[in-house]
Amino acid sequence: MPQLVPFFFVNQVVFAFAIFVMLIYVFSKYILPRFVRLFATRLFISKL
Amino acid sequence: MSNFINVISPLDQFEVRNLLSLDAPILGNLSLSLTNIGLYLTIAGYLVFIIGLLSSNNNKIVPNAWSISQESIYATVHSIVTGQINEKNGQVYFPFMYVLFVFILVNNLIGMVPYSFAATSHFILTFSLSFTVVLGATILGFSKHGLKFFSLFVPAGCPLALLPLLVMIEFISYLARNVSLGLRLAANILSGHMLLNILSGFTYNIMTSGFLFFFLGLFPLAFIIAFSGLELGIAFIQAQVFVVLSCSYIKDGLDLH
Amino acid sequence: MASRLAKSALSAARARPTLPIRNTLPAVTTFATSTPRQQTGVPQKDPKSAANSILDALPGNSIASKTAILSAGAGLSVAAISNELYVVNEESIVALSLLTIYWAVYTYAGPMYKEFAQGQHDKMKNILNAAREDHTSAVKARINSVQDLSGVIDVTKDLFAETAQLEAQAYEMEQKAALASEAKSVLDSWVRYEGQVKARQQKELADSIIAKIDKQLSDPKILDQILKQSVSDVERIVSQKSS
Repeated sequence: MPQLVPFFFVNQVVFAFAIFVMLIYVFSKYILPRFVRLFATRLFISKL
Repeated sequence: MSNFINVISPLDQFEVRNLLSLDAPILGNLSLSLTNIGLYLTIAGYLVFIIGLLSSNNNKIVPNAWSISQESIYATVHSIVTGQINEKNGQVYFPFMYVLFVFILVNNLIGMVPYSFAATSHFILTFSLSFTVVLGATILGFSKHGLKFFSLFVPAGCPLALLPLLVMIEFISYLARNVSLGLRLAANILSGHMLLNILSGFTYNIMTSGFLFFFLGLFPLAFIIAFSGLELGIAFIQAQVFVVLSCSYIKDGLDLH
Repeated sequence: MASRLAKSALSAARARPTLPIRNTLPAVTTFATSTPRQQTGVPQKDPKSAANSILDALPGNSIASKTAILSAGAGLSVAAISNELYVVNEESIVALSLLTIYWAVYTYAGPMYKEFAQGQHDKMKNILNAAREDHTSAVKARINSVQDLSGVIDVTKDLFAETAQLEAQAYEMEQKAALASEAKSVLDSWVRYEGQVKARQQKELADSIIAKIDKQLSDPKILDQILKQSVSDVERIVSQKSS
């Protein structure tokens, strides 16, 4: 199995987690709150 | 170059290679290298980020086709999180679950692009994700319930004689979650790509061996096309399954059944 | 190497028939989807429209540009294959099938998604438009209710002029009254002063007369004369009575 070369294990895990953590930060701080605001706005204009 | 063209192995497409590496004796002889999986993970991260940033329709209330896709992903993951974990307390885990879903989905879909590389077909990556999730859920359970967390391994209303056996089985199943969660994702993507590769190898051999065989090869080609569609579905379903199971594990850590 | 060259040349020769497959696939499917009922009724018309739909899918306006694009694409692909820029192998079949799936998703799921998206879009838009219309009608109703008071400016102006006039008159009257009261007080003070002066003179006069009489009374001659006068008066009165 060429995917089980141990030399690259740390490499890909580091890449995956660095990107994953950055995405979580960016999404939870900037992108997902925008959806919350958008949905809240829609709720206000349609139901309340 | 000619070497890797001639090698025909269904696992050849998953090989991790160095694209760019730094072998200088700096930073304690750290081997800094950009591998192809690292490159594709970076591309996936950028893609997720850029799509999340650009398909917002300038924060308008009236959506367009791009922002509706983001909104439906949001609604899907939100319903999973609120359905699996608590309606109120589970919302804390929503950003993690959303990013998990989008990250796995985009990596699966990047694997579906011709001539590209499927990062989620690597067991190390998916295992690291799944171990992190289950370990995090375990730590969550311990910090919330202390030693009462072990009551998770005792099924409700079981006879006392069977207790050691059942606790053993529950414990093993709890440990198996680690493996099964990552294995499911990687095995599905890996097997799908391998299946496509093997079938296309057969079909290529059939189609290149004669004029009549070319038309004969159209039948396996139809199968391959059907399997490609299946793969596209699997790319979505596996991302969803991963998130659903992560949510249920976190719920176990939170509520102890 | 030579065998590989020969193989690639062979595959190049065989790769060309694969191109029509991709091109005819859309034709067959549009044939099936666009006119499923006309298929039995007018079968001879469909191939022509299918071919036209392929032609319409190409960029460019005239027949010449479309032919140029087709021939250029074919020539480029042949050149790429023969120069080993593109190697036709198993992966090409995977790519072909994946591209077919993507095309199918785009063709069949795309309109459905577009419909769904349009539905959402219209839903939000309708809500906003309804809100706008509500607001417009509310503003109109307010305008209508306010319109009855449109003459309020003239009334106010008249009232203001009248008020100013009245105030001027009132001020004038006030001034007059103040003047009159001042004059009256001045006159009163004069009158009081005159009265005081007259009273003092009368008193002085009375005092001087009393003093004069007292002085005369203290004189015996005058007392005597008075007595004589009074005796003579009494005698005359008595004589008058007796007569």
